[in-house]
Amino acid sequence: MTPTFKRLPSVVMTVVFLIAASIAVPAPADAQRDYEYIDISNPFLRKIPVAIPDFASGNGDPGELQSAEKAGRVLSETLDFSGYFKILDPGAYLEAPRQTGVTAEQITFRNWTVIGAEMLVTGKAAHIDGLLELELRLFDPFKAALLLGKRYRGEPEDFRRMVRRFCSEVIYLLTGDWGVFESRIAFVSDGTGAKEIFLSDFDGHNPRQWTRHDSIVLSPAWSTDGKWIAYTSYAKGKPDLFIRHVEENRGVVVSREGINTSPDWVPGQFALAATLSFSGDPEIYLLTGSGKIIKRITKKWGIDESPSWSPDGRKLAFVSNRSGTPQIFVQEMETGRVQRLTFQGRYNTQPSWSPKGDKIAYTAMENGQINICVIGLDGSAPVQLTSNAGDNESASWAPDGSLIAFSSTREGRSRIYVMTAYGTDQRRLLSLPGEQSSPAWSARMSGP
Amino acid sequence: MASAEKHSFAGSDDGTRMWAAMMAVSFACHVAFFVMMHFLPALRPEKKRTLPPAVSVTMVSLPQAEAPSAAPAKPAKTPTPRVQPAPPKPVEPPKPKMPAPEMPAPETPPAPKAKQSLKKQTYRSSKVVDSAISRIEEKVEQESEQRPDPLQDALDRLREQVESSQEVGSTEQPPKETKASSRTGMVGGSSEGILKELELIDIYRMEIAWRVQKNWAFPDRLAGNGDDLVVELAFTVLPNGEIRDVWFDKRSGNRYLDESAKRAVLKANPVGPFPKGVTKSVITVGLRFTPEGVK
Repeated sequence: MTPTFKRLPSVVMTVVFLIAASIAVPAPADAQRDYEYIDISNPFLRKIPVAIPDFASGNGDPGELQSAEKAGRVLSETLDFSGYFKILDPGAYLEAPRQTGVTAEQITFRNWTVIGAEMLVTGKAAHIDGLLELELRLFDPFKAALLLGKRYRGEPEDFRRMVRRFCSEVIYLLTGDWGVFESRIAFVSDGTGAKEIFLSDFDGHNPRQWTRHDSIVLSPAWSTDGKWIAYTSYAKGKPDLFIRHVEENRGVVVSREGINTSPDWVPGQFALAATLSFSGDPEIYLLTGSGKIIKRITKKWGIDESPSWSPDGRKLAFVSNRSGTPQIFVQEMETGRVQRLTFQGRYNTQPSWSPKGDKIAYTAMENGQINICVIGLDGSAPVQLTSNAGDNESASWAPDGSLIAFSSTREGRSRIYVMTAYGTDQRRLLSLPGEQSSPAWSARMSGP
Repeated sequence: MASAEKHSFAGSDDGTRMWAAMMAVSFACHVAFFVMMHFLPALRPEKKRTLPPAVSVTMVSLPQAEAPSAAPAKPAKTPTPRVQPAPPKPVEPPKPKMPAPEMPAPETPPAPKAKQSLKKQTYRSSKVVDSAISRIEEKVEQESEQRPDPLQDALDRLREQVESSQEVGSTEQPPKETKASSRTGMVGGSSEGILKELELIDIYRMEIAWRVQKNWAFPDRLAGNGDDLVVELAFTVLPNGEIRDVWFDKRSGNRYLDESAKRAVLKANPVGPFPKGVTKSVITVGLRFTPEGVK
């Protein structure tokens, strides 16, 4: 026997093993990869179907029932406002948590999956010692899981805040952003006979007059903390810049020669950019919150106005006619380098930098129509968000960048509208006497 | 055989014997292999068939509407009463419901068109395929006014393939699909039956994809501009149409998207039972969700 033959068995074994392996291995692999992927790219429903059955009440007294009803309604409206949800028709609900219970153990999730509800919100309102206690829960019926459960307690008239707080949590869960439910909108309205600034909740609820100049006001702008508003008023006969605390009666007026207009707060700072023309040429300046000039930002002959900060405060978009027609430019604060952003059309103004930082909304006039467009900062083509619906201008982003408020004359008078950042779900925000314009969306505020 | 080579250098005599031995072993193994292949057809690697590698499918909605007249649809136990009114954005005209996968009872097959090996296991499934195809055709037509739909393309291709394969004999066909489509008429031999079965399964899978798509709810805005979000998942379907074992082959990184895809599958459960002629005990369906985002 040679060493070779001694080794033969092991060689044979190896070969046999290899063959066996070659037979055995492909089979399972094949079974696993027995399928190819079929592509699906168009969701049938472009919103999340959510069921919001009537809220339960603690012991069923009329006050509680009323609170429960109101809270349920506001919750539906609030979630609906975000544009992410489709509230399912209550007529289709197979179960009434109001009677059967609002907790996971008391819910038969199958009753909700079968009607296609991908989310379920239950609520219960109780009056305890004169306070309202609101329990809100968000379920994923398909996982039979509680995603979010909160109990709020407060004055009964605060139910709206509780509901909004909860809705913010829902949006946070969904998008990782706190959404818009705790923000406000400032706008100009002339319903009183003069143009004044009004403030309302994000959804147009609870509008109230804020300025009383009995004059003309323009372009309100919120500071990042929501405590200050800067605006232009003709109260003293010419356009001056007013910087005022929202709640307290204090502030300053910048009243230099010429115009003092179009303020925009530096993100996170008590400072703002504004257009001043005391030099004889409207230029953009950086001011402190108390109205002192820090420096001049634009240095080019011609009109430079309407500053809008990038969310990191390192760049500034503005309008300039330095190239002949009003166009939007972006200046880097550190280097002073300026780049023209818009090239389409002959009239592009009112830039508004998205809080996400990647886009700028602006107003474009073309063929006699005024519309809102959005352009990416990566040089991508502008997208027109409104069309054939009157004049649309003054875009202002919601704090999470998901929505845009703007003014439109689509129904005749100028009113405030809201749409998603992609131009869908356009709707009127509120209905007030007179005309409304220049909406400015605040940052998220946890306070009232 | 590196070891054999190594040893052959040791000495010519040893080398020759070694060579002979190895040849013998090799021969034996080959014989064993083919014998196994013959007796254990299950081990045969499955053929790749019919579906183009990535059937790109932009499924247009298919709101359920009147059921196709052709199908005395099985107790297609319909899930999910679709409560939602039409989606906000793209409102499409209602389309016929997906054809129930199984067909009316097989009828007499048309005359054979080409030679065919006759064996047992005759599925007169050509009828089934034909009518399924025709219904799909109808559907495709009805939707043709709408935006271009990759799924439609896929169905078209499938249909063409089936048609052409019915006219043409068994031989030359479009490359990849050949095997699947090379069957003619009705008298399925066993291999033929298998091919046909595979085709049925593919159609069935497409129908399931439609159904899942119909149940998919996902706000485009959550996908932003749709940058490269891809979810690949797969699930098994039992003969009665019950979906089992949904798993992710690839997640997108967007948790909500992943979940919405899985929910779409769960909402589609149960799908229709296997078409007649499918003998498998379980069918695996792979779906790739690629939200286009907002344009």
